[in-house]
Formats: sequence, structure tokens, C-alpha cells
Amino acid sequence: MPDASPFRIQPPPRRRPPPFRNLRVYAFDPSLDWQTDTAAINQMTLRVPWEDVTVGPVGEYLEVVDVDPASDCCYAPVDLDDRYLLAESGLDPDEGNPQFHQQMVYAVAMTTIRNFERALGRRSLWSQADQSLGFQFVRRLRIYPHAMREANAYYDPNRKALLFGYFPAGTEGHNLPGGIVFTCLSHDVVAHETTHALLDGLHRRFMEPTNVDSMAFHEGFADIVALFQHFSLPAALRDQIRKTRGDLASQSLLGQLAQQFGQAVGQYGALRDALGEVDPATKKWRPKEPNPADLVSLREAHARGSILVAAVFDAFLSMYKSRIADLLRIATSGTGVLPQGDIQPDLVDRLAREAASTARHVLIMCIRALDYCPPVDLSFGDYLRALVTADRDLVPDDDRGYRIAIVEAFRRRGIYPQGVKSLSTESLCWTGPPAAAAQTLLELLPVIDSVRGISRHHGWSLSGDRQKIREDMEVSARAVHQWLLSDSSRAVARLMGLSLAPEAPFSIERKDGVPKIEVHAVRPARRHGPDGQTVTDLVIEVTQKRRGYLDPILQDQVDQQPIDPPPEEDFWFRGGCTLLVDLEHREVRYVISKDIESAERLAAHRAFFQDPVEEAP
Amino acid sequence: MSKPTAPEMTAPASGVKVRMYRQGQGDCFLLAFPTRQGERPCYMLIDCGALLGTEGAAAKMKKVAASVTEATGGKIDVLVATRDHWDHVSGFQQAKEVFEGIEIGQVWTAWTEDPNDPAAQRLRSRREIALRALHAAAQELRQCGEEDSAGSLESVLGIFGEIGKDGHPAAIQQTMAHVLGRGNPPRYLRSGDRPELPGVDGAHVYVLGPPGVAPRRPLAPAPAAAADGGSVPGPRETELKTLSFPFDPYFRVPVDAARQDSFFQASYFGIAGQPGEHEMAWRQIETEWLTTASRLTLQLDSNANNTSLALSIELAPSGKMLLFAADAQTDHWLTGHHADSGVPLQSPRLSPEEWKDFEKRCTLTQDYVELAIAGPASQPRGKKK
Repeated sequence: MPDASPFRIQPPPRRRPPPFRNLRVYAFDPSLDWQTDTAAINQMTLRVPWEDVTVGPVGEYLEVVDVDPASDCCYAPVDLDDRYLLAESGLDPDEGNPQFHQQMVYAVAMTTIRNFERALGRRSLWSQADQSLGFQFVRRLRIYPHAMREANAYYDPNRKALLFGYFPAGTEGHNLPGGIVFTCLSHDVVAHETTHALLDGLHRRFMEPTNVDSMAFHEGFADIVALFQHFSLPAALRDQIRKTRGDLASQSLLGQLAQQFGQAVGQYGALRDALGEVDPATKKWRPKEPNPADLVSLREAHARGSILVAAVFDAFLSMYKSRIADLLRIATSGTGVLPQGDIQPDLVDRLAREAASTARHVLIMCIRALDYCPPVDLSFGDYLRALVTADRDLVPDDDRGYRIAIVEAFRRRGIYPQGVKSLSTESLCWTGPPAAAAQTLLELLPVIDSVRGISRHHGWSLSGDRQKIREDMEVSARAVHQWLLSDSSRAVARLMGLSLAPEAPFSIERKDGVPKIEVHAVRPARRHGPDGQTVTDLVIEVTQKRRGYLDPILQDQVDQQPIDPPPEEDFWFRGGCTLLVDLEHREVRYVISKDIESAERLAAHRAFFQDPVEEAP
Repeated sequence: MSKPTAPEMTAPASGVKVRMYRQGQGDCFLLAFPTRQGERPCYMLIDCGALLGTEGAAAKMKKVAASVTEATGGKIDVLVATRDHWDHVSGFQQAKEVFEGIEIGQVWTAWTEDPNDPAAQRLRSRREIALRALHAAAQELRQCGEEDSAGSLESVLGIFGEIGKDGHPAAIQQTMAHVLGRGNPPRYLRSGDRPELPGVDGAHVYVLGPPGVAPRRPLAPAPAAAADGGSVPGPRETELKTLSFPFDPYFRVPVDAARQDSFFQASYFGIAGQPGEHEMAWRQIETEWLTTASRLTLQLDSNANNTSLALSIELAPSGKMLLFAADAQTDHWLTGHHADSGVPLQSPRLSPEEWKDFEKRCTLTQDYVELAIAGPASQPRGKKK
């Protein structure tokens, strides 16, 4: 809103909105403010993309609503456009002011959203409301900073809301005994929960526990995003590099998640630590050794998710080490061995820059890999393949050995994809369809072209209207759906993990005599081609569901012939695929499928539902 | 399977005879040890309770008590009350008249039950505050129309016994006070104690838990966490209210005022009576915080488990151990055991054959299972509910 200038003789050019809104937040959480060695780095200013916000804050993506039913009151919404706040980069960090809490959740959640949008090159959408609400478009994620009195915070997929709790601290760690800990003031917790919501917006079937990895992936991925956002905090990064003398593998604040939360619930250290743990007996920190046995024994989602986090972090460390090796040699006359004492401030700066840019790369790689995941029943092994493929698309030649670092880190933790012949990065990449099928799949292209807006992706650009994007996507999804039900697609259906033949298992519901399918998403993914040009791929996700029964004999009966009505299912068994289509070069690049007819997967589901993972405490 | 012939329970020549009553979910063990004089055995009764909600609990417990009277000839030498939970002590209230007819030698219980111990007082008062708040939460849930949540919360709260209108665990406290009152005075035990069984040579008792100091983990969530679950009655109400609010009063906008405010109307409450009001409901969180109460209750219970009295009884000279752990969790007594007795603990898994053999040696009636464990030779087996 450019003000009318009082100077009317020759009005100055119209001012454009600034790119960012500066908002102050805690870099970690309030507990670090009370320790002299960390207080200086704990307050920071986030540069949040500028948008028009009304009181709340309520913007394009988020609405902060501060009701506190447990205390039977509400808190007045903050007005970020207040001119004093604009001049001061928002409110001062203050635990005792609920309006600062609103500002902080808004700023951190917006930063996380921005990271997603930058990595994926398109706008983020929240998952739509469920059937009872007519699948209505949900423009804004709701945030309740003070939703309950509990040492907990979560994303509620039904309400499309983040709920943050608050609770009195225990007597351990640096907390004020009996003082109140607000989960919404923990940078990590906010980033973590926002990631859950973003991930749900991309892959809504990932919320369904279908194997031991599925919930763990949600948790681990949310931790990865929170963790690597730490490395975008320059002050904290420099400080920790100075303290650890460049060795990020030693105990460092950056590798730890949710300090205050962890200490307040009675753990000695942070809630989660990617690098090590505090020995309960000696209270000393010790590095964690990768142990493939963990993958077998750890089933609880958070614990298992931490294996994924550790693997990604491990890969990050090897990349960082290889990137700074030359710097260390330069700084030490070729020996590469740092002398005793503090390291040179310029070197600290350079190391920090390397760490930050490595971390950014890893974060982008991890987020981009989401477009390369199968739409259902994801396992850690699948994600490894997605990571490697996504990175190959982003950086065609692996001259720095990043992909090898990733494969190595996963291998050391016993994470292998199923059905690959070797662990070379090339054989880990997803593959395209066989030539004949590829020809058939190409028929999809004109179908997509015919849908205006999609072929040009206007709607998905970072300035497009998000509701329009959703509507466009539905139009193109319908077009794809129609083509899939045509005769020619039948030939390739099995390749896509779908079952469309008349004799398909009757546990799949029919519509007009044809097995039902669902087109989840048709969305663009941008990447740089080998020649440096931006290429747009189209990501198409198709799924199918089938009634699953714990009793294999019953399953056979329902599969063999139509029974009306069918016996109530014990679980839903889903299959389908993600297609990546290169619109420029007119080819289907990857078909990432989970077969709906796979007996092996069905048996694994059965075993999983008979021995499900217990809920997290 | 054979019927017991004599009404009075006998002790084996060496070792112990253990009888486990079958009243449903709950604990009640009667042990008979041979004494020095070789006359009347020494009888030890460990707990007498049935879980709240057990069908016909009172009748069942009266039957158990009558059987105990008969078996002991009307005198219990050592009465052990492991903890103040309904499934451990309900019988002392439900069959109060019968127990009043029994002579009781000593009463053993955990130090955490000692009304004069300041640490024990602290533990208890914190738990009471939490319990009161949880009951208030259940009432509030009911008022909000969340019948199911309220019901499930109340059923979990049942482990703490029937609770009076003020949310005070009255029944269980009265019962416990009554039991302790028969001890004149009761013995308050902590890990490391080695109380003696009167007149018994062949068995040594080691107390494994509770540990001598308050457990490191807080027993109950600190008051502020749960204390103002609705209107909490009692003199401390005002104090708790101020203590538990997260922000200073001038930040708090009363709900009634917020309902009139355009921001909260548009984003949360809707406008009362207007058609849009209903459409806001799916994202509201009015009762979300109350559904956490069930989780809190379970946590309260599992934290309190470690205040229960855990005993091991060594049968000399074989060194075989009987373990009566009540609800104590392994990590709490295992270290204590090693430190205090130096006897390694074995808890072998029985093979199917061994189980058959074990069953053969048991006497099974409608009311109880009985097994004699000789000093040497036979297979000892820890008992845990």
C-alpha cells in the first residue's frame, strides 16, 4: 500500500512491496537465553517473504488463532503491520507475551513453507478437507499456539491445524522448575509440525501406517527439515563452528532438536540428537555409532525416524568434510591439521559458508525427493532411491560424490531398497518404462496438453492463486483419469501397478463395471536440464485401493468373484504409481509403482496389521 | 487336581506353601511357612483386592476373606499391603467385618504410605491434586457432551478407587488407614530392609522397593499441568489458578468477550445464531485438551507403580527366591535386589513339559491355586500378577 506522497509536484515512482518482512524469533528456544554462552546467538531475525497479512497473523498460507480453551480465554491477535512493529522487526522475543508467540509461529512456519516452495519450484497446497466437508479447498493452515496443556504438539490432519501445547517444566536441565514451557516457542517443534502439514499436502496417503517405515518417515522427514533449517541460521552456525573448531560431528547445538522440550520432560539433553546421545549413567554426551540392528529393533515412529535423520545427517557431514578439506589445507600450510586453540575468524566464516550451502543442498535434495516417491506404502529404501534420482536430476554429474555419500550413509544403517541388483548410484535410480510401454504412455501427453493452464503451468507459478491451482489440478486429474480408463491404457496399467482388466481382483471396487482408480495429483516439478535450461516435468500420481483381509482364504473368496455387499475389510490395501513426464522432450522418465496385485506386499501388510507399531508415548 | 482335605492350611516341612486366590483381576496371596516350634505355621497375607468394576466383587472378597479365616485359624501373622490401589486392598473394605474377626500380628507396607513421612506426604498430595483435576476434567467432558471420552477417562481413574464427590479418593484412603490401623504400629519398609517373619528360620525376606528416596521421575505431573481442569474445589483453588495461567491477567481475553470480537468471530467462533456458526465447528479445539486427561491418568498410574512394596523371599538353604513384585517395574527393584541380597535372579521360561509338571504340583480349586515349594530340589517360580 504505497502511501500518497505529500510531495505532489512530481510524484516519485510507485513503490513496490518489499521482498521480505523481518521478524524476530528465538533461534532455538527460550532456554538458551538463560545461558551465557548461548544467549547471544539465540535471538535472530527471520526474513519472511512479504505478503499482506491481517491481524492474527492471517496471510495467504497461515492463520494463527490464539484461543486457549484449557485456560478458558483467548489472546488478542498481533498486528504485524503495526508501524512500530514494522520498524522494529516485530515484537521482542518474550516468553510472557502471547503476541510474540503468534509472531514466532507465523515466522518459522512461513520460513518452512518458503523452503518447500523454493525446493519444489511451485506453490504449496494443504491437503483438502475430507469427504464429509465436500473435499473443500483449505487455503490456510490453522495454527493454535496454545491449544492444550500437555507436553505435546501435533499436526491434526482432520482440522488442518497445528496444535501446540504448553506445560510446566520438570526440575532438570536449564529450565526454571515449575516454569512453563511453550512448545510453540521452539523453533524446531514449529518447523517439525509445519513439515508434517506440508508433507500431508503433497502425499496424503503417507499419514496411513501401512508398514513399519511409514509413520517413521513422517517423523524422520519432519526432523530433517527442522534440523537443516538450523544450518540456515548464520550466527548460530558461526558460533558452533568456532566452538567445535569446524568439526560438526562433535556435540553441537546444530545437531540437536528441541532442547527445552527435551529437558523439561525429564531428559537430560535435547529431545532428539542426530549425532549422539547423553549417556544416562555418566550424563556425558557420546557420538552415536550406526547400527544396522536398530532398523530391526526400533519400531516406534520417532525412534525409527531418527535412523533416517542420522543417515541423512551422516551424508551431510561427509559432504561438508570433503568440501572443507581444501580450506583446511590452505589454512594450515598444507598439513590439514588445525593447531591448538581457536581457529581464525576468517576461516570460521568460510567454513560456515560451506556448511550452510551444503545444508541447503541437502535440504533441497530431501524435499525434492518427495516428487520421486511412490504415492503409497513408502519405505526408507524407496526414499533412498528417490533421493538419489532427485539429486541426479538436479546435479547430473556427481563430481563431488554426494550421491555416493548418501548411499554409503544409508548402507551403514542397513537401509537397502528392495529389488535392486547393486548399490551403485546408477542402479538405485528409478527407471523409465520399457520402450513399447513408453510409446503407449506418450498418448498421455496430448491429453495433458489439451487441458489449458496445465501445459503452461501458469497456475503453479509462485504468484498464482492457490485455489485456482487446485481447481486446475482437478481438471487435469479428470483428463488423466479419463485416459487411464480408455482401452489403450489397459496395456500399460500393470506396469503402473494398477489393475484395470475386467478380471481384476474383485476386492477392488468397480464403477460402471471398471475397477476404480483415483488420480491424486498432476503437478509440475522444475529441474535444470543438462544444458542448464529449466525443464518442467509433470508428476502424476495414480492410486487404487483394494479391500484387505487378515484371513487369506477370505481374501481369495472376495478376489475371485463379486460379493454384494462385500464383507467389511480389515484394512485398505493400496497400490499405484508416480509418473514423471518430461513435457519438453516428450518422454515418460520414471514409473515408480507399488503393485496393487502384489501378493508379497499384501502379505507384508497383513503381518504389519497383526503386529502394528505401538503409539508413541 | 485335588480338593484340599483339611480346612486349615498347612505348611510344608521346609520351604513354603503359596495360595493364590482367584477372585478375578487383583492380588491376594496367602503363604504358610513352617515355624521353629513346628506347631502352627506362620501365615502371611499379601494384598487382598479386586479391580474396580469386577462383577460381584464384594461377595467374592467376602468369600476370600472367609477362606483366609478358615485357612489361618483366624490369625494372620504378617499382613502385607503393597500399595494403595483398589485391586490390591479392596477386600479389606469389602470384607471388613470378616477381617475384623481375624487377629493380625504385624502389618507391613511401603514407606510411601507413612502418613508422617514428609516425602511420602509430598508424593501423595501431588497425586491427589492431579486426581482431583482429572475428575474435574471428566465432569467437564460430560458437560461438553463428550460422553465416550468422559466414560473412558472415568474407567481409567477407577484404579485409584471409588472417589467421593470432591474428587478425593476417599474409599481407598479409608481402607488403607483401616489396614494400617491394625498394625499398631505398621512397619514402613524401603528397599534394603530385611524384616523377619516371626518364628520362621527357613525363609528370609528382602525388601526390593520402593527405593529409600522419592523416585527421580515426578510421581504426578506438577500441579500446574492439570490443576485447573474446570472448577477445582478446595481451599487451594485460588492459589492454583494464579499459579497455572501461562500469561499475566491483562493478556487474557475472556471467552465471552472474544465471541463478540470480529477477529475471533471470523476465524473461530462464528457469530452466534448465524448460519455460518456451524461451519466453524470442524476446526475448533474446544475439548481437545480434555482428551489428553486419559493419557495423563495412565501416566500417573505407571509412575505411581514404583511406590508399591516389592518383596523377595529367600528359602534357605536352597537359596531359591520367591518374588512378589506387586506393580513395581523391573528397573526399580532389579538393582536393589542385586545390591542387597547378592543372589542372582533367574526367571526361567518354562518349557511346555515343565509347565505340565508345574500344573501337576498345583492344587486347583474354584477359589484358589495352591503350590508347595520345598526348600531344596523343586522348581521355584517368582509370582507376579
